[in-house]
Amino acid sequence: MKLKEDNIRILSPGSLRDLLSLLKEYPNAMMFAGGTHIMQQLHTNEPESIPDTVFSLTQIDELTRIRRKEHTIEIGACVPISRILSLGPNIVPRILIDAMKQISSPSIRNSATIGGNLCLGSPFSDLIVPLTILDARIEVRSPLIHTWMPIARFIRTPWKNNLLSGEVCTAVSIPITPAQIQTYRSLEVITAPTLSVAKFAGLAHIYRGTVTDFRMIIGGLDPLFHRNREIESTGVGRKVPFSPKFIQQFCDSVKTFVDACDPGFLPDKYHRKTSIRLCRQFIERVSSHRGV
Amino acid sequence: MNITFTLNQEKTDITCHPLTPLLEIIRGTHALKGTHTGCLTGECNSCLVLVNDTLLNACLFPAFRLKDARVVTIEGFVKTREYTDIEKAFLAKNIIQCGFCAPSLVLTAHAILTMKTTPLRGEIEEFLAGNLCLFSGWHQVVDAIMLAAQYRRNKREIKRR
Amino acid sequence: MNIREEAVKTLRGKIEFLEDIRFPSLLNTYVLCSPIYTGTFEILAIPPLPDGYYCITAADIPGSNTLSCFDGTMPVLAAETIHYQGEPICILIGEKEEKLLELAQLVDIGYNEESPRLSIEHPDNETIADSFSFSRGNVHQVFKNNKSILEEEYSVGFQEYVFLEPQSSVAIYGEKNLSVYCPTKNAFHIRDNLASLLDIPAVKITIIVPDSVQDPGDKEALPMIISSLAGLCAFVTKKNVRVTLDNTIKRYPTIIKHKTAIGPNGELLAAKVSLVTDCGAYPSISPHLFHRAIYTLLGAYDFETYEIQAATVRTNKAPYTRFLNGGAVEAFFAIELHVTHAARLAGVNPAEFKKKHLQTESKTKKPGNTDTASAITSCIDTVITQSDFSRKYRAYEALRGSIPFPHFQYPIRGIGFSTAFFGFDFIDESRADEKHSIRLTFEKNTLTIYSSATEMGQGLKYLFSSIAAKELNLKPEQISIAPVNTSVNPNSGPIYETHAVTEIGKLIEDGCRKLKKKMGKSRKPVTIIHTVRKKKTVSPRQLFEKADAGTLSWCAMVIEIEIDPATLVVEIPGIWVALESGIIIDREIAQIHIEKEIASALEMLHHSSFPHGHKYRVYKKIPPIHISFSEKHYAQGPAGGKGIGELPSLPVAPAYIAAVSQAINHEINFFPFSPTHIEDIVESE
Repeated sequence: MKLKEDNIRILSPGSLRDLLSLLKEYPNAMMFAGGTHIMQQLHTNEPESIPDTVFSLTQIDELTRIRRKEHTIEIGACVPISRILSLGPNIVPRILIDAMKQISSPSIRNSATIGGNLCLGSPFSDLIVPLTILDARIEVRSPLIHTWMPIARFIRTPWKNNLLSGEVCTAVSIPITPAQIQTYRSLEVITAPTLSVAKFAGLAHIYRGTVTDFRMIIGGLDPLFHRNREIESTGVGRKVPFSPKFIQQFCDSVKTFVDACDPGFLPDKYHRKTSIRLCRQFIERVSSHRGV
Repeated sequence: MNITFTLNQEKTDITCHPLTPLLEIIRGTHALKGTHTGCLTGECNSCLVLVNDTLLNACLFPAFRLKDARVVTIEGFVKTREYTDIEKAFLAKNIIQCGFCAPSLVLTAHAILTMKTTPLRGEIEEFLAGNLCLFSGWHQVVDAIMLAAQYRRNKREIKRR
Repeated sequence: MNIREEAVKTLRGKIEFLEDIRFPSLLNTYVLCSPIYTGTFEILAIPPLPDGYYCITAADIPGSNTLSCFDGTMPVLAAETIHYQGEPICILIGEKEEKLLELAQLVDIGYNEESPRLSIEHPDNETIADSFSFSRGNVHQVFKNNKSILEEEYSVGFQEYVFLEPQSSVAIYGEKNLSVYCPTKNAFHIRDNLASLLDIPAVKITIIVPDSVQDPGDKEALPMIISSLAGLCAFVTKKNVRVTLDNTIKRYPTIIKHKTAIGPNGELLAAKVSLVTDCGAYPSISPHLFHRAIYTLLGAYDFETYEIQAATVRTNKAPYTRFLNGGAVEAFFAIELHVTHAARLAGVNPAEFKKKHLQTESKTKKPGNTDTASAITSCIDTVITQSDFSRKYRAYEALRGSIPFPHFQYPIRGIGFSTAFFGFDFIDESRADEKHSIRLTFEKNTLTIYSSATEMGQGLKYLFSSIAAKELNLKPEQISIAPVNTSVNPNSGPIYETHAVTEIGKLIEDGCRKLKKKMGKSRKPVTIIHTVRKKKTVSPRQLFEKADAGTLSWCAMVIEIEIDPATLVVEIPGIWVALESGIIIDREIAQIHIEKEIASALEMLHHSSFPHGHKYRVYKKIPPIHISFSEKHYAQGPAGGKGIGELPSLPVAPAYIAAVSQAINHEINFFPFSPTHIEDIVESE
């Protein structure tokens, strides 16, 4: 790698307060958490693209904490994926565990962080879709604001997030779910003739034979995901097993919905059709589940 | 940027660009060739090292993060007691072949055995995912790691008695 | 260093690949390659070169500007004419890479582009680089008299991947000797080629192969090109030089058409087969791959009458090098699937059908030869029994088409069966007049073996040590294998999978016997050289008629698959493979090798058809593989063994595709193959 002489300033704030005050001075600095993506880019792209100022974040205590609350688990933005995985399914929702296991390899998961993964907004991310279905929220801070926003609002289009200049993502709050059925599938990326990605997440809870929670998200390229609450609501309050007629109606609605999506969402036919089949597989799984 | 860190238990001072990958420092400055240059994108895991006891890809680890870090490459790891069980098991199962990925496989095996004293086959398989090896034979590597775990358990048992 | 010490060195990261060796003051190079496929060119301007910077063109070549080891037509540097995109035109040499890049932008080359040929369809006399036709009996008469004709086209598409070890070569200039370091399996051919290129005696050139080499499927044609460039640069500039080129390996398309007449009782009466392959711009090693394909076109099956027409076609692509197991993979894919289809037409379980139609004793020409049926039947029986093939096949066949596809509740299953054979006899790529030797030195209670065999992760050193240890009653720790160096080691022939074990292994075994005699009981230091003259190269026609199945290695394989009804992703619950490869010299090495070959073949089934964002071969999890050996002593092989080589990879594609075809009730005749193809099939139906 050919890097020019020291034309870069690496700042390592020791606390969140330090970070926020440095943000005032350098609102456009690059945030360096796990750095897996940035380092990959350095190998493949021109190193000239690196900004003058980089904030190293991993030594900030507040960003590497994990806190268990009554109904949520709050994970600092710089917590590596492997540390979240090590908490196990009793603490972390199963769907998230399944998704995290699909992220590259253990050594990469030792570096890559939850915040980095979300802020990057990559269509290849295996966290965006499952965290969205879990109704996770992101903590955003700046020298002036402190707010929590749903992932669906934080990130929607590829490689873009909702952070303004001078803002930083500091934590992710993930609601704990009792849902018995939690499914995450990530399909192979297709690069030709055009790039296409597809993900599917489904989550359902059945109590005394009635569906009390039913959620479904299809992940794609642009936008990064679609969630149709109207279709979701048709499953809630319904007794299992579902009638074949309902299943058919449900699948028809999914198909109509997917077909109506922008062609840039799931550019490849295989991804479009598989997403519909995964929805069907999911509803049939819910239908045949005994619940509690 | 001047950086001081420990490389294979020896204090080291280097001057380099803060984003220089650790791989370049290991292979270039320190001529430790057991860490191989592969894909440079974290896909092949030919460049695994231990940084503060954590298994990481040296191609994606920037120099500025090295400040006060403890880096162990295969050359340093072979001097530890933990290495002997792994070597014995890998040799017993003939897991050597061309040797491009062997050092990373050894360090991965160590990472698994640090986490689990009795790893299941599935757990080992999950952990090995990403180690691109063209010659060793997948099932035999898993067997070798199971055997290394057995050696370590036996040692512990003898100590306990 | 003995084999055990070497194994320890490997694990400890002390084994040196070319990139790990430190060389004194190396100059870098920038190879300017043609951006056009075909046409003429003229170097209009070369920028003024600073001190210590050089530019070499075809005019600077002192000897013959050809890669003489191939057919003698391929230039090292293009002169006036371009035949493929990426053809080297000139080389810039100097210390700084950035400066070379800068200078490269200033080299002005004028091109006169012509229309390229990129497809192998409709070849004519001008574009056919090599052809072969052979027939027995009158196929047309049989086709005329028979109504049951099965006619299909099978194709293997373009594939590529990148190996991790860079394709490079380092040349160290010396007044008396030019040393070229190169990861290759063919050091002596590279040396001789370089001698002719530089017009100097071969003894003035030393080719050194590093400790270890990652076999990218091609360590002959590409190393030949790269080492020629490196040697040339060092020779002309009198400096030490490194040349690195792209390490992408490609498979070019092949089309095979099978037309078979099937008798009323399912007999295979006649076959008409045509094969068209793409050799790229020059036939480099592709003729050998072409011959492999020809020899395996009819598989292990007994066709009374046949007609074979084969052609390898020139295109304006880089010369086809060696993609994993090229040639035989394509031929077995076609014949095995075709006979599976014939079995289905006859309503018979394909394993039983294939077993029934194996070549038998009556067809072999020479008395005493082993026939196909007795060579492979035990392998077939083993995999059929172990996999419970017949029951599963019946069950999946009964379900075939009855499940509305895709069914959403349960995965769909299928099972496929295939056979294959392989052996050094028909992939003999050494020159007919060559002498192959090994040198053995016994000193201080240690045997050192000097040969030209390169370890490329296939466990050769282990096998050679085992053979010698057994023969001389030594411990493997007492055996050392000398690194390949053409000035020290004798030429024991190139390393072509089965050839390495069967022939060089045999040289070692026989050499050890000679050494034992010479040594007597004294155990005094002694050195012997054991040499055999290569048999005359066998022509494809002779291969068809010879058919001594005993010299080949055999294998039968069953693959069971399961298709996820939603994602259409194919999972493999199990692979059963049985091999007859003589006596297995080292069971663990054999198992590792078999697993590796199967894994590579599985990866290649999908590669490039389900485009990844990367080109690296990554297999995350290998399915359970049940390996059995049917051991028969092979008198001509070392320790009674034969090489396994690429054999285990050959039946993978046909068995897998047959299983998928059964599961989705649609015959697939191509690979690479991915779920997207199943999607297309579902839609079309």
